[in-house]
Formats: sequence, structure tokens, C-alpha cells
Amino acid sequence: MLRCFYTIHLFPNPQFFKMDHPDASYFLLFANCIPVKGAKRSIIYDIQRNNFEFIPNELYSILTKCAKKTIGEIKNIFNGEYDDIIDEYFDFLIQKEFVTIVSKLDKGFTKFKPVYDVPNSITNCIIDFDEHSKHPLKNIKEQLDQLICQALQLRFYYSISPHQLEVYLDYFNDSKLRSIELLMPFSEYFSKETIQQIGTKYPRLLSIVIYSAFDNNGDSFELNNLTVSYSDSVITSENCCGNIHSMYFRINIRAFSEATQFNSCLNKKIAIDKRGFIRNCPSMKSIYGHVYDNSLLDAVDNPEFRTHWEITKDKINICKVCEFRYMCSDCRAYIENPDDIYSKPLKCGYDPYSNIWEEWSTHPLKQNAINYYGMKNIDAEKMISKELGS
Amino acid sequence: MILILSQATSEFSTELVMDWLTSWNANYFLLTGDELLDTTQMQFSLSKKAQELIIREGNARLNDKEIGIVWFRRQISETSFEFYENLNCSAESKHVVINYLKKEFQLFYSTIALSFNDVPWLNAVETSNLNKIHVLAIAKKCGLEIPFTIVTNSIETELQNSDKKYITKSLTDCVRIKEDDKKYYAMLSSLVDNKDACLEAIIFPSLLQEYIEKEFEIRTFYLDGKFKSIAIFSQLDERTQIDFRNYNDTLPNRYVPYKLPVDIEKKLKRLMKKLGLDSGSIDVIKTKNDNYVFLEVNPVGQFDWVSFNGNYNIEKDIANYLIKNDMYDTKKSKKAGFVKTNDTAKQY
Repeated sequence: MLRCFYTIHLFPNPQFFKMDHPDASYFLLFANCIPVKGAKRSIIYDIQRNNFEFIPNELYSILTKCAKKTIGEIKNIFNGEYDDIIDEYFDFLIQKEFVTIVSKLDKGFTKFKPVYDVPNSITNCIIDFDEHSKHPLKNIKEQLDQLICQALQLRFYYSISPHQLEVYLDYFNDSKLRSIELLMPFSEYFSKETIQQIGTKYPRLLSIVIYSAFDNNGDSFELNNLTVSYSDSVITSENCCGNIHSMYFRINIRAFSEATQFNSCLNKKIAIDKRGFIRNCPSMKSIYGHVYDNSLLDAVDNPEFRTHWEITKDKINICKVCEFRYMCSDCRAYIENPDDIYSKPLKCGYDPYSNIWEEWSTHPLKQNAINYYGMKNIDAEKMISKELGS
Repeated sequence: MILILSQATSEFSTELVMDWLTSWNANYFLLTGDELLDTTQMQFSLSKKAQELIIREGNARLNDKEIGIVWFRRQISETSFEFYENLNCSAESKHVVINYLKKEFQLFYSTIALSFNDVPWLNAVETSNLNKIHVLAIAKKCGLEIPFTIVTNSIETELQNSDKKYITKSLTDCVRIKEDDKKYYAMLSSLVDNKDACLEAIIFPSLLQEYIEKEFEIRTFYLDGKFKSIAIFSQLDERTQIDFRNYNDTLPNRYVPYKLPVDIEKKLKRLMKKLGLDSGSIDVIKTKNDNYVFLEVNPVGQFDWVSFNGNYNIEKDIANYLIKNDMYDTKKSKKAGFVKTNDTAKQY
């Protein structure tokens, strides 16, 4: 049976204009609009315009199996029983510009090739700081340049002063980095004016996230390239990372290509934890030396360092049938079954079989893993408990 | 060693090519026209016995004898002469002076071409500005379909009464005009109003081209015999129907990977050979009658969006080409071979 959009509650008041799609015509699905099938519903990833729409799995089948059939032929497959629904499908697809209607097929249209091939040995680096951290930043900067690292995130688990922050940022003034992001707790010292001054002085600074910001400590704002956002989450250590949330979903050509071939969280990433240990990610257990004794380049060259890089979402239990799998941030540091590296992220409350988001930290089946990671008292982020998109 | 000639701003593709070169430990030197007005010394000397080009950045000197290939990407940022807007003279004189300075700079810059004329170049300064009409004539000879084209200073009455639609576009490069209100106006293609166009006996010399109903447009990037194409669905949006460069930023046109038919690629290849170009961006229209109509070639056109939207990694191909054709770096040429085999292997 074909389901119309109503049945998946995506469009409470669907307003489909009638679009022109004669039965004798074909549909051309644009190569950068990619249907991805989930256990219960599918998603069209629009990796050019960076957004997505849910579709019923029946429409997924039509899009992936009937590309060489006319719309009339598709209707005939269902013996003309669902003409209205099929018309509605195409009204929707044309309106969203996922497809265009053509009178004949053109062999020149090729499929999107999700190749992820970049010159960078490392694309992203995280450096964590607490009040005792003394990282050799000059040295780190030079090594990151050699690795052709693009993006750097500095995360502070203590209240840093604007002066100290500038001292740190100055080390990266002549680096090849394209962007720097900051994560720091709310502090009186960082007034909007101070942040604006810092933003102007360091044009590579693209994002500042200020956590522990309560009672309207500040409203998010933008300044040229810089986005400053405030969050009421409390972040005390790297243990707070790894949440799977629609907020962290990314849809674009690069992210999609990377996620189909590599682990979207760990591939080409490096981290220096607050004590100076080199890791793939600050939350991962394995250590590959210390910044004072070992080089980042040697760490990256070690095949063990890259062991998780090819764990795609297609290889992870549950995730492999999740419609969000190529936009999800994933996490291999906190997983449901710490003995099985292919198990689902612990901090994911989404069930692709029911399409329901639940609070992960109270889920009874996850208690063992939560104890394992010592996160009993974690101040979990508020998760969307209702269905995304409704 | 590779010499890259580019501009200091708005050149993301140059940066990406350099990232690839860095990742393969290839030697390269980036020279932007902008820095020649600013921080970098360049001196060309010609004597009875020899000619010499010295380029110096602080204490570092470029050894011109090591340069084994030159990639001409861009000369200088459009904005780099704005500095001279501060001249203390009338607006008219300022205009004359700046144009004069630009021409003087051109000749100074041309000594680079003179100095490296015995090594291969990917694109050349002198072929960066093509004659559109000349190119159309050669394209026709290569068997490509071209739009009916008129270059004229007077519009015949028959056009006035014809039902055919015409567009007009610039004969040379599309320029951007900055008005006092700081808005930019670009000279894009636009439809000709047949009635309006014939009011004067003599008009300023213009290019008219038959308007072709398109199914979609194609932008293809050509490098060393290979094409990477993108189909642009500009006709879905009224704003971009006549010229897709009239970008709609809120809802961009669909850009999707496309493969031109082999015989069209063959003809385009012949055209590029005749024009002496190893690389360039080519505009083609696919008509509603399934014909491919050639429009123009831009040797230094932007390709980063073609590369990005088609996920083609054109920058990697360029870096590979530069290493492969570098005359004075045999060691690196071997590396280029390594690069090729690595194409299929998983990178880390």
C-alpha cells in the first residue's frame, strides 16, 4: 500500500500545489538530492542546498527503482489504484526542486559520486584546557600546519580571561588554519564589546559557544564571520561530549561524502586533552603520546591511531538502518556496549524503528554503559523527546 | 619547482591546489600581483649577454633557474589599485592616472612571461583574454554548433520586425561597476527589446546573439584533454533564465554533475587545441531540441564551484598536472606517478 504524507505526520496541513507532470513524462532526480532509506521512513538529503525532507519508504522505492519509467508507467505498477498519491508525491518533489520533469531521458546525468579525498592529513583539531593546562602551542601550531589542518577548536573547562585567550590565539596568527572555534564558560569578563573586539582582531574566529549561560546571560549574535551563541548546558569535561542531537546534524556535499566512507566523528581528527595527551578525540581511551614528548605527525602515522576512521554508519548496529546516518555526528567514545565498537552511540535517544526520540540518560537499557563510563551524575542535555520535524 | 601566479584575494581554488602540492611535498612558490604593489621585490634586467629576473620576499630570493612550470591563474585582485583612489586630483584625472598605472603594471608583469618562456605554462597571461568572435569562428570550424551572432553598430530593420529573440552581452569581459551607493552592477547578458534597439541609426558597437531556448546550461572545466561538467538548471528560476551569473543566493540554481556526449567533447578538445589552451572553463547550452550549442571559453574562469558541486576534486588534478609537467624536478615527477596510483587507494 502506498502511504501519503499524512500518515507520517510530516505535513500537518500539506499544501501541495498542482504541478505539471504529464503521465508521458519522466522525472529527473537531481544528483545532489539523495534518498536515504531508514527502517520506517526515508529522507531526501539535499546536499547542495543543505537541508532535508522526510519521505515515505514507498517514495524512496519509486525514486530509486523507477528512474527509467514514465510517471504513467509508475502509476500502472500500482494498477492505477494510487494515482492521487503518486501525483501528490510528484507535486511535492517538483515544488521542493528535488526533481524536474523531462520529456525524455538524458544519459549525460550521472549519479553523485560521494568521494571524500582531501589533501589534509588532519582536518580538525581539538585542544582542551583546564586551569592547569600548559600546552606548547607554538610547536602545536607548526605541526598542525604540516598536517594541513583546517579547523581548530579550543575548549576551556574553566573561566579563562580575555587576556589569556588572546595570548593563546596569537600563537595561531600566521598559521594555515582556515577557522578557529571556541567553547568556554560564561564569564562577566566577556562582555559583548570584548567579544566583538576579539572577533575583529582574529578574523579566523568563526564561532564562540558560551556554555553555563543562565537567565539570559546573553543572546546569540553574529559579527561578520563570527557566530556567538549561548547555551545553558553545563560542560565540565570531555565526558559531556558525544550527544547525538539534530542540532549537530550536518548536510552538505563534503559531510555526506565523508560519512558514506569514513567515520564522521573521528576521521582525520586529532586532539590534545587537557593534560596534554594526544588522542584521536579527547574522549577516546587510547593515548598516542604526550605533546611534550611526541609529535602529532608520528601519532597520525601510527595505523592504530586511525583504526576507527573507517567505521562508517553503515557498519554500526541500529545506525545502519537509521535515516539520519549520513548527517549524524556519531560518537565512538561513548557507546551502548563498550565491548562492541560497532554498537550504537550511547548518547543517542533516537529509535529508527519507531521514529521516536527519547531521553538517552534515563533509558533502562543504557544504565550499564552509563555506569561503565562513570557518568551517573551527568547533567544531560535536554533532548528532543518528541518526533523530530513534527 | 612550480611558480603559481595568482591574486591575493577571492582565490580559494589556488589555496586548495597549494594544499595538494603541500601534501605531496612538492616545491612551489606563490606570487600574487597584489604583493608586487606591496611587499615583494621584482626586478627584470636585460643586458647584452643575459636577462635575469629577481624576485625577493624579505631575505628569501626565488631562484628563477629552478622554476620548471608556471601556472597562470590570475594576475592581480580587482581591488588592488583602489589604493590610488587617494590621489589628490580631479576624478577625471584620477581615472586616467589609474588606467595608466594599470597598463604600466601590465608591462612590468609581462617580464615574468619573458623570463620563463622556455618552461611549460598552464594557461598564459596573453591567452587569458580571448576574442569571443574569433573563438566562435574557430568553434564553428571545429564542427560545434554556435548561436547566430552579429557584431554591429547598427540594427537592421529586419531585426525590428523579426519574431526572433536576441540577447546582448559584452564583447569582452563582463565588468562590474561600482556606483556611489556602493552597489555593484554586473554587465550580464540580457534580452534585447527589438523595438527599442532600432531607434538610432548608429548604436555603440554591440554583440547580439540569437536567444536559445535552453533545457539547461552546461559549464565544463577542461584540463589536459579531460572534461568535468556541471548542468545548471537556470531556466527553473526567472532571475537566472538569461544569465545564470545573476545568482539567486537564497535559492541557488541546481548544479548537478553531467557528462557531455563524446562527440561534443571531441569537438571542444579540438577547439582548445586550436586556441592553444591546456585548461579553461567552457559554456555550452543544451537546447530543447537536444542540440549542444557552444557559447564561450574563459581560460581563467572560476572553477571552484564546478569542482565543489560535482565533487570533482579539480584542484587535485591541477596539482597533479603541475607536478607531472614540472621540467626541473625529476624527483617530484616520480612522485606524480605515485600520486596517480594513489587515486584509487584510500587516503589518510
